[in-house]
Amino acid sequence: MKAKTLSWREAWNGRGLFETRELVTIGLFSAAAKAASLTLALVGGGMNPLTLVLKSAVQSALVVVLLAKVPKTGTLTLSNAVGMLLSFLLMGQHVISLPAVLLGTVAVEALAWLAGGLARRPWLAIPMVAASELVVRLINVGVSYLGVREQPGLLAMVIVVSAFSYLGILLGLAGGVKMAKELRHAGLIQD
Amino acid sequence: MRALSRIEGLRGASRLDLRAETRLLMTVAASVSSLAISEPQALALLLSFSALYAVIEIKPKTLLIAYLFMGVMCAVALFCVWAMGFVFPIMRNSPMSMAISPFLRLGVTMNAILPLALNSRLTDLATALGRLRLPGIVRLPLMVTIRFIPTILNDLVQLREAVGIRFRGRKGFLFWLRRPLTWWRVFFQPLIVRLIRSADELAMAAELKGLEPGTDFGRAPRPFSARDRATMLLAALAVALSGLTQIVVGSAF
Amino acid sequence: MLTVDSLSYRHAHADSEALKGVSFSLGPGESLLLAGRSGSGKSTLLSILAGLHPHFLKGDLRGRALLDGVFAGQGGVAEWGKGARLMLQNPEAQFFAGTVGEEISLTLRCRGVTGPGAEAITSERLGALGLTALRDHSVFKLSEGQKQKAVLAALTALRPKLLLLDEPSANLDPVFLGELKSVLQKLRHEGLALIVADHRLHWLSGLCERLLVLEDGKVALEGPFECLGDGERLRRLGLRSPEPPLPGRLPPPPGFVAPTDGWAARVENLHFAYPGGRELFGGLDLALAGGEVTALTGPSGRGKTTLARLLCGLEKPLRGTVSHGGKPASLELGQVVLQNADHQLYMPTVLGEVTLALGQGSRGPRDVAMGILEAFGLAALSGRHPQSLSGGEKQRLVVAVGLARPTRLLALDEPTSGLDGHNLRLMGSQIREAAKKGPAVLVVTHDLELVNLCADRQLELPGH
Repeated sequence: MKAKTLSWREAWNGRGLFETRELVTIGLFSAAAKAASLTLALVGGGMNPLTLVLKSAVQSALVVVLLAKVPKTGTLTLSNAVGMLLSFLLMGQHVISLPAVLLGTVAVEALAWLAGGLARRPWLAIPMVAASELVVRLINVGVSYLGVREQPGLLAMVIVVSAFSYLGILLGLAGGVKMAKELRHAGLIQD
Repeated sequence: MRALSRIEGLRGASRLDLRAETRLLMTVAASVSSLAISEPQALALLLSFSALYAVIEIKPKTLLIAYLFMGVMCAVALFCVWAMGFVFPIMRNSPMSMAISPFLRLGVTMNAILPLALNSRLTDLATALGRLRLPGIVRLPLMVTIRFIPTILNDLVQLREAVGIRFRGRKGFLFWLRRPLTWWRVFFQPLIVRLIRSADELAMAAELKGLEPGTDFGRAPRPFSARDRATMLLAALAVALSGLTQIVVGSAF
Repeated sequence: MLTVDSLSYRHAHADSEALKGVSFSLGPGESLLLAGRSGSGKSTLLSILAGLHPHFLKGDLRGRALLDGVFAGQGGVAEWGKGARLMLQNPEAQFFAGTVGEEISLTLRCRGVTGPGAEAITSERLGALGLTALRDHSVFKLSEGQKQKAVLAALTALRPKLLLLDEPSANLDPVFLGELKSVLQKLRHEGLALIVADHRLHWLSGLCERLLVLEDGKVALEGPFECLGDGERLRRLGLRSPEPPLPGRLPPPPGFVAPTDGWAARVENLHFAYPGGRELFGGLDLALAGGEVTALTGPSGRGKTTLARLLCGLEKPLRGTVSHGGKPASLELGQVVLQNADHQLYMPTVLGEVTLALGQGSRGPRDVAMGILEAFGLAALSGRHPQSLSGGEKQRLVVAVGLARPTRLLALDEPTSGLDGHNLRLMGSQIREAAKKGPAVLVVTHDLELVNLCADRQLELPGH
């Protein structure tokens, strides 16, 4: 049977790369990350160090479980793209960091693909999330520097906040791995 | 949910009634131009234009609250820099004229983002991103995210309440601080289970509906109005004028 | 029109078949009730008829289902969906747009219908289902019944030939159930064929002239609606009664009583309204006795769940008092089991769930926990992950957890929504057993069959 050729519009929309159900799952997990982050910020205060750690821990654990549910090259990039676009629409986060973050995440995914890919090596989710979140934070610090370059002392705050949130990311990785195992045991995630 | 209804109270009817694309482009222009410009005079010019846009588009009370909040944030940041100056003397050397540039930049960005965040429906914004050629593969999950944030926020409220019932009202900070692993389990596990189940259910609903990566969820847009065109023209003029000021003032020093 | 011939289906990764040689046929404008206990294969059959195999359901299918000569799923879900549409149990999961009108337009857009044609269809469907006034209403602010109608309006926008409904009555009160029935009657008169899979059967009398009962994936009974027959057959098939439950037979709980400690819970001159909302209670007096089961019934939105929350101290009255044995109502003295079981299960094992409740965060005594599980028929599942249990088992587990600690008042919010006849009867008997241990049990429910099974008294909150 002859394979159907995709039109340029279908190719641009990514048809054939992801199924609708996978895209819906990615969207739902991004919604959960944002909702949990909003709730924690409302309960504990946005700049409270404990809140920062918890927000990031929940975020990275959600991404680890998402990668267990949709173990495909591109899942992490899409998840990051959706998260950043939402931050831009809701909070005006500097749009300039978006392409840089996407490039960084694509590079991390490319390395993971070269190492065998998520479907064959599920443990790759851990270094992938750790590395991509580090890239996100480094780029954010860089963009923040552009914003406060006349008064670099202000950057100290950004660095402290980024350090706390990265600590949360690392803690969340452990929680996410444990939860993914448990969900497999409960039959909620299929191998 | 109560906090969300408070946010709802800050919204106001937009006087310009701009299309979502116009507000998006205004935000991108403010973000990029404020980063590119560094002279306080040029940034002050940009701030004036953006403040005019915000005053027209936003309820005065909302704008006042936003400015007060920004003022407090700036004061805290300046205090930190001043305090750090005792540890790192080099930090005391920046001229005051230059020190205000980051805050002017923050003001420009805030003036542009408030109309976007408070006067646009998120589905319209995501649809607008589609018309600005954002690939469908990103747009579909973005639309799902926007649609389901309120549902998940509601779930989190119920979850918090269920935990409160099980632990007989011991929802206090210290109770959970002493039991971080229990906190993680009782809040995170039900959230994840709910997500996994919802994801399967929603995926089925999306397939049944016929949703595809390029599908728009939002309303059909109305045509660009004269107000849209005038706003974008004024924004372009403001950016050009600020750029010119940057060149002139920059070369003068 | 629809022909299902020797249809068998095995889910991917499953050992046994979910459907085993199912055959039946359906003509235009006919309607069929699909009954059977939980896990009997009803939802799987509906999913296949909705065209979800092979694109979404990736298991192994044998036999055939044909709609006007076209195989189920042929040409993809979207193409098949022009002929057959499925309404899922949770209507909110089917909304992707913000308002009722946009939801119908989105459904049409997904099928390539746009412009003035789409606008005309949207207006017509809104009018046909009585939703015109709700056109610009947010889907989040609709009642359960309105949500069902909005989903039906979207599903029928492109005039399918067959409408499949999965558990449409699960969250509806008797008033909305009556409305749903008349909407479905109307759709039938438009020539639409219906297949309704539901556990509540009584409301379908007069709507579905035929029934098909599945048991373990096989057709156990097929015939006219009236063929369900006596109690023994219903019990064997795990079904609920097809007879409408008789309302209003039970005495109400006492109103104002003398202030003694003999009552498990007392409400005096209760006034309550949510901020910005209308007054739900304006001077309510009520007393609940230990050892009795009181059913709290009435239309949706009338404050049933709110009263349960007030009785357990989750809400504070604006005026008046709510007390347990003379002390102000609190979660220390009263226990409430919420509707969503998934939100109330935290541990990796069923046993761990009960020991957590017994030990308040540390490990409770294992033998006591096993005794509780035994009483609820869950002992054999003690090592299982709570999230791997069926809906009925989860409902029973959360009630068992609620009773793990001594309490003066146990409030249960809709404990039987979505339960089959077998699980309904089991839950009813366990609620009675729970009351025998001493607490006053308050059951908030739309399910009049449960009321008849276990309640001593009934408090019917009137409509506005």
